[in-house]
Amino acid sequence: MKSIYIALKDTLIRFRDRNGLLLMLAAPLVLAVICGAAFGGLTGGGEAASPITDIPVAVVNADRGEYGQQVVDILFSADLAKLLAPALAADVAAARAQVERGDVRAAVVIPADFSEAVTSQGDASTAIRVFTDPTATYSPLIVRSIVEQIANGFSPGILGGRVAVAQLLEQAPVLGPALAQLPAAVAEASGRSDAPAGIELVTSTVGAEEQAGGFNALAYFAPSMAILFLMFTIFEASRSILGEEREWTLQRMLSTPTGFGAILAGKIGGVFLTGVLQLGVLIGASALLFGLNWGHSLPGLILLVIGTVAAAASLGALITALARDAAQAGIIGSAVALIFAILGGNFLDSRAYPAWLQPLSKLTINRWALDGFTDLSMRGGGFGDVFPEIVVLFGIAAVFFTLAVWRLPRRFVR
Amino acid sequence: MLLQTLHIALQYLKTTYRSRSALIFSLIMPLVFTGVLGVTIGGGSQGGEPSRWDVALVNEDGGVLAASLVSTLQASPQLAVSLLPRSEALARTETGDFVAAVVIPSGLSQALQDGKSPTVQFTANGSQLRPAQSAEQAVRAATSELASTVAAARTSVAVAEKLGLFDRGADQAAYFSDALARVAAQWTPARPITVQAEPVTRLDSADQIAGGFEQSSPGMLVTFALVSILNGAIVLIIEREQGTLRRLLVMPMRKGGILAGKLLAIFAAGLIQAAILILVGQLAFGVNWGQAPLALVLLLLAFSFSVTSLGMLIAGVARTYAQANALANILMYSIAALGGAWWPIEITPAWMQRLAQVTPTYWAMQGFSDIITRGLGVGAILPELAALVGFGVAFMAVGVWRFRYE
Repeated sequence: MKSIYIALKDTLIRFRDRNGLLLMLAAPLVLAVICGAAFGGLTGGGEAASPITDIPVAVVNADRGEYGQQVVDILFSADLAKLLAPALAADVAAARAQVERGDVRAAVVIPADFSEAVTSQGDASTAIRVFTDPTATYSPLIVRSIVEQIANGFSPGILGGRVAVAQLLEQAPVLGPALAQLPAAVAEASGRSDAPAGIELVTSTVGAEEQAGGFNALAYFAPSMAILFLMFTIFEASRSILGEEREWTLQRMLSTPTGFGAILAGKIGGVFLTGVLQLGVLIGASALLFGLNWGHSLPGLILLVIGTVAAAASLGALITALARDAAQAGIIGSAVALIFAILGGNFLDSRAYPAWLQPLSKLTINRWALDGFTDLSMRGGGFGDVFPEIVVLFGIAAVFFTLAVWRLPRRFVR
Repeated sequence: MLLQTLHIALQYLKTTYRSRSALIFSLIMPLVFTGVLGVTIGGGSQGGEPSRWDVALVNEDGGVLAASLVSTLQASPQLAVSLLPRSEALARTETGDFVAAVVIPSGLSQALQDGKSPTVQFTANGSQLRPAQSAEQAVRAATSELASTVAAARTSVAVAEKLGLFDRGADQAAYFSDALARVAAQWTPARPITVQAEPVTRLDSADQIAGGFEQSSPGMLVTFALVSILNGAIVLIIEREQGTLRRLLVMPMRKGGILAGKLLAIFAAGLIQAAILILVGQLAFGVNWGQAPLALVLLLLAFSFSVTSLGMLIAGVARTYAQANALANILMYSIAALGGAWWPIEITPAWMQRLAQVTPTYWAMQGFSDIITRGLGVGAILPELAALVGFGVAFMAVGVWRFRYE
């Protein structure tokens, strides 16, 4: 009974501290919005497979013929309007300078002999140059591939004409006088620069994205940031036991007819309760503010919250048991929270981590909690989907809690 | 006066770096963060090679044209292709082994020969959409190459038909195969239009560009210097609350001198943190930090100044330590993320890239990229320096004006 009273009192104090609430509730929500927006969660819907849009590109057309202009027209066409944001540049030097300043991600330079090469019946060849921004990873590759597709579009006319001539000249004995029509026929057949019968690419996505409405980065980062700041809260709250020892309030409590066990249980219970409320408020707030869907299984969600908080609170209690004093517990707590966060995927989607990092990632509470919460928020999963994560989290909690209960009393008995 | 200011600064640095926690937070933590973020952002990129994305390829068509598409995809400099059966390809794409699976359906070769438009399926992994988008465009380049080859051969057949060759008994199918072979033979050595891509950098060679680490190394430098400086600045408020600041005031020194000493120390601690991370980036991750030493030093000074000023601003407006701590924590994470210190800014929407310009971290990141990736010098980073100093002066003015000593 006294334990429950201590737990409630501690929790109440924490939720009355306005600055504390800023860190517990406002910070994770703000960061979830920033990360979600960065990875394209706030635009909603949209084409899931095209997260990168409006790539700024400088275009230089040194060609005076009609085919150079065709390339420009394709780059500026409505088909590419979502992907590219092209603008004409005066010359190569100006375009390169734009890339170097970082104003554009790439510059496309159509050479002066482009139309000549397209219409040539000989084996003339030319090169479209693409200058890329070395600080960017994805967009220069996209621009390059698009230009390759455009260049390929011109090739049938050129190569077709050349091959037609070569093949038909060998057929001269069969054809006889009809061969005289060859130049006209080639010109007619290869003059068509409209897209030939192409290969259509049908795109779709699997994994992480099966919930209707497309990939929603917020559905990843809302739970992710909630877990990160839950760890901060819990480690900070756990070490308050040591703070009470330092400020002699623990000793004062012990002088009352309250057992040491009851005080510890109350303290740890308060940490647990604080954590559950923090996660609960964050889940509720993200559902209300951002319309985030937390899945089809309320029992699954509740057990996941309890499992996550129990695992974190047990680790917090263990750190408290092992640390020399409150200051050291603070250092260990921050270090563990940050290392768990980076390994567990709180800052970047851990499923994109290289294979050798995955086992390390799965050593963290954060990863299991995040996998569970995103099963619900991103894939709209049910109880069966989050059951494995719940089991693992309770397992982690059991191990750490046992160790903490074994070490904690020794910590205080001198 | 100046000496005393320096003494206060030195005292702060001594207390900071004597504790063992400094080793954890200044060295080990940034090392882990830089490493993990670097390998993740770098994707398939290794030692300056352009990124290659892992793609599973399924070929269900036995024809010659499908085989040619397979070899084109295998030759793509942007793709690392693994040929697999359909079920395995899709399953391993779903688990994230591949950024995407490409399925060439049976009947593709025949459809192309008949002048129809067959389809190829491209299935992306939902949690790797950006790599998948790059891979998709590379696959499109390959399919357009095959379509163009076929179209060229068909052009030749059309010309022959026009001239009446097939009316005189020639075999159209054989003629088409021959045309295709000739087009393919011409394509490889002397493609009429090639696309040459080259990065715009003044580094001696592109392999000095260190993949994902050239993002994560300056990114974590910015983040950890920010954390170090802002945490230092809010100590000012602890000193005010504990009365040690008042105690210092009885010294025969002006108030300004004491504050200057503290700020100088916080500024210097930020520089030390940055220097440690530059060494880490250079030695552990091969990031090319030594390209333009003068530009680098100027940029570090300007960045540390702007962030120290931000810390002063927080110390100036916050009434209590708890308030300053909450404010500083929210600010340091938000502006690090917003300014592009955690991921390449190119992936964020255009409006966010504009919004980022109100953060000093954005300008610092731009400046660092100019130096280590583009190989530029002082001239190129003048706008960044101006922005950082501008932020610094504005923050400092407001902060000092609002700061209360007791």
